[in-house]
Amino acid sequence: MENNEISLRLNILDSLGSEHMNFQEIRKIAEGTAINFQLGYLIVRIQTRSELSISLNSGRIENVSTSNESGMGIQAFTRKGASGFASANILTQNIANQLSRKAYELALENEKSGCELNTNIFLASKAREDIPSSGKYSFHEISPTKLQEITMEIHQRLLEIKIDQGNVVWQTNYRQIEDFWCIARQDGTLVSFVIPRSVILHQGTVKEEKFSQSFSVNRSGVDVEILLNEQQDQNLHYKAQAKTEFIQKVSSAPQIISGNYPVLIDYGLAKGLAHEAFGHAVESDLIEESILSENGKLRKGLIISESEIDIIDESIRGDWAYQPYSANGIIRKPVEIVKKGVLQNGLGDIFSSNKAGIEMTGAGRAEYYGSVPLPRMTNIRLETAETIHLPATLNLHDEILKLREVLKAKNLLEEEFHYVLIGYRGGQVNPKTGDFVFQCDGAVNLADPNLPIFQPGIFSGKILSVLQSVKMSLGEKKIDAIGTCGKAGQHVPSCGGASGYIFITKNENIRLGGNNNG
Amino acid sequence: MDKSLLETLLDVLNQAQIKPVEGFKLKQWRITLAQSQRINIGVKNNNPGSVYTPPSYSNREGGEVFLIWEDDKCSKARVQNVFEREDYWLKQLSLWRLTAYNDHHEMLIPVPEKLPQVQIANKDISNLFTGDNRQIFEHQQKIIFDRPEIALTNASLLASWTRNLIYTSTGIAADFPESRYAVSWSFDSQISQGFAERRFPTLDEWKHLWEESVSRYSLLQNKSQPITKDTVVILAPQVVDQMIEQFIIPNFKGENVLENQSRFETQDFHKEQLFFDEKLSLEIDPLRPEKWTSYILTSEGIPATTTLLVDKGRLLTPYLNTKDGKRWRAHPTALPLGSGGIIINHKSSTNWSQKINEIQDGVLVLSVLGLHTQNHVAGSYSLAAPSCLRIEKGILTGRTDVRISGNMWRIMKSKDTTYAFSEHDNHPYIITTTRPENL
Repeated sequence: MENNEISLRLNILDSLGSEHMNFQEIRKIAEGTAINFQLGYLIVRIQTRSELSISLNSGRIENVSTSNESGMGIQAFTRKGASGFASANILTQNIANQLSRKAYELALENEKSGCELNTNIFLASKAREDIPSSGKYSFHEISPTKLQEITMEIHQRLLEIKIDQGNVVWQTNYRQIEDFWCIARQDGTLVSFVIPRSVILHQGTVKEEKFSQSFSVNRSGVDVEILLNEQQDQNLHYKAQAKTEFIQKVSSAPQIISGNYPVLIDYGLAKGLAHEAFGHAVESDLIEESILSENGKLRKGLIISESEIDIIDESIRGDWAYQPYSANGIIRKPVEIVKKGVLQNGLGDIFSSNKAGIEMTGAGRAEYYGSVPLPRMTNIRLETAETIHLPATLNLHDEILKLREVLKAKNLLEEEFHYVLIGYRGGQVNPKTGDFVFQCDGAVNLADPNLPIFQPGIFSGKILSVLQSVKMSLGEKKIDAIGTCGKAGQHVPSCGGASGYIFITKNENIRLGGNNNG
Repeated sequence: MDKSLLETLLDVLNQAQIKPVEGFKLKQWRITLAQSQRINIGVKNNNPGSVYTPPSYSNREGGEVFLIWEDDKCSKARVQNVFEREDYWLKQLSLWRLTAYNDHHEMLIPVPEKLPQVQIANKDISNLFTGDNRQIFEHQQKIIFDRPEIALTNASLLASWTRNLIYTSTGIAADFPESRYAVSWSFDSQISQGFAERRFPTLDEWKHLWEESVSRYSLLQNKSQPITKDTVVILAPQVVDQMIEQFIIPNFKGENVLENQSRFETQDFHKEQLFFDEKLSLEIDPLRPEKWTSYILTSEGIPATTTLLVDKGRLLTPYLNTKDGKRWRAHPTALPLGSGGIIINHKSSTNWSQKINEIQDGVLVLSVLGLHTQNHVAGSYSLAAPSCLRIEKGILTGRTDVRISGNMWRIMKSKDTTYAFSEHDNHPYIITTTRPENL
């Protein structure tokens, strides 16, 4: 009886795999709409999204939600290059035709009001490709009930983590998303691709009498496999355990006295630095106000570092931020932003790369079908030519011990203060002034053999100074620091990392900490 | 398809109350839908309607269903209209049942209550969607023509008209419109200003906001005297808004208090702990006419009401949705719907135009970098503030770049902190006793 019931349920779930209009029908609507429009030039963008989300809080299911959403956005261009945009969340040929007319009317209105004209899209190369999902499991391969059970099992283990003082409370979120994008243009371009993503995120809050700090650890992938793997190997659990111990020590730790210090930053912080400080500064639509530009053009050839440092943005299949084609239907290329310390190229889309003096790299991304695409990053990483091997360790504490040992053995350890910053809590950069700030979960002074821990202190400075001080990296390359980039109010998945812990020498323009004088 | 999304869902859910889905009947349900039209336009790098900010129109209908099954399991799902798929909703029902979960705190569907009279829809904005869209384009042109010549100007303008539909199995059947209008601009990514209400700005409002931003931008071109040991930090309303978002909103959220993820604990409210300055109160008032954060009903169907979170410095209640209200054993409260929904009142507050004259040595912080990275529970911050204006003997003189550090809880507890209001801002200027450092 039970087997029959399971079988019946899985049949239902199989049929739910096609709850959206099927992809072939979508491609037909997109292509037909783009090709048959006679008045101007169209880019038609259709998206469908399936999402399942499970939230657990202190041992209870807090929320399970599902969604199947879809829609289309159409950007129309007049022959002179004025554009208008219209979107709706209904997928029919009739609605597509209505949106085309509406977008074109807005483009005409825009033209009359003296807008900036841009005809670059008329010269784009035609592309045709259909890229299937890289996922091993289909979206509904495992029943929602089973998913809840596995997520709960993983979450329950967290509740066994004990700390010496105070308490820790846990939230766990499991998200599984499948995006299908189809982009058609009037020149016959028709590209479509499926982007599956999944993530398990544990958020802990350590609370003592006068202190409380939240932190998170995550494991990402393309499908439910991450949940099954975590159930077996508990890799994320061990990370959560080590991080809890670290944060608990942070709770009673002193603050760093504000100053200039040599530091090591972990790969999550390095991703933040590469993304916020350099990635955004070379996006072709932002070049005009970027500190890395001169007269509206990227300062190609600018020596940013004497060391051999590379910053690379690359869309990687199976990555959290994967996107093989731009939202304008142009193939996305890897970009060496900085090569051997020299500013080399930017992230250019079809509309502004030429003006910004950079190569067109297919960088346009849109949050959803109703967004107008902007040049964006995917996976960005910071790599140094010189890397120092760090022996494998079992946990964060041992890794910090090894960092000290290796630095000392190589005569790289400063005498009084040499901090390693652990965990990335976010950051922000002013592209015009070049000021940056980043925050970590906590810091350790490697110069002191007792390895004292400190409360997080803001890491700030000038972006043109920071790479001058990057010398090398320690440990193994990691590029799975996931996040969400919110440029211009559009939130897209971002990812990245570094060739290990990044070693930054003391620099007068880079500070750590700030006096809490309130 | 002839039926609207609402009609379809009503049919589907009413049926499920009679005919079991995957072996279970539906006990109760709630439908929250929005039929929304929106126009966006913008200015990018001094260019109106560039390829990145073209005039955009969107038309969406969608929302959420919340279901309680006969075995008391719940389901939650996002929904939108789907054409030409007859079996679609039956499959969705099955999926919803298969994702049903036990909610430890027994979710509830509210019963109908008297609705408050709150003006949240402005006819002038609906006209934008029925043919006459001149006003939004005129505002765009104003920004282009009046912008400071040397500034790289960016702007965003948005208007929306939404029909809200909230229906429940308990008898709520609400159908009401709402409008929104938001315009914001920035010069060189250093000075930004904006307006967000449920109506167009008046000429006076526009003039004040525009002139203030232009004059501040102009002052930023002057270099000021360095800060001294006596320089005090003044947080501008835009920065106070960000501080509320980072510190007040998460710490007063009922769920966070109940789950021990807030600065405050349940007993702090029950004991009405004195936590802030005795002259300070924090309120949510969604009944103010045409305010961005005003509303008639929450998405759960709870009518708007005012709620005092803090009175005379004492903690009264966190803000509570239906579920947290049940856990708190209280009626759901007003919800802030963003930082603009929290109102700061201080009994000794003054007028900003007078207050500034009294400031001998200060720095006006107009924006900060990295506030979202700060520990929201601890309330401490240490931030770069690269574009501040120096105040010397009551006059704004020029630019200075500083780092500010402090603790928002201590600032709001201190009797030495003062508050000054300007009629065009949602939040006050907060004159702290903290000292800046050179950046």
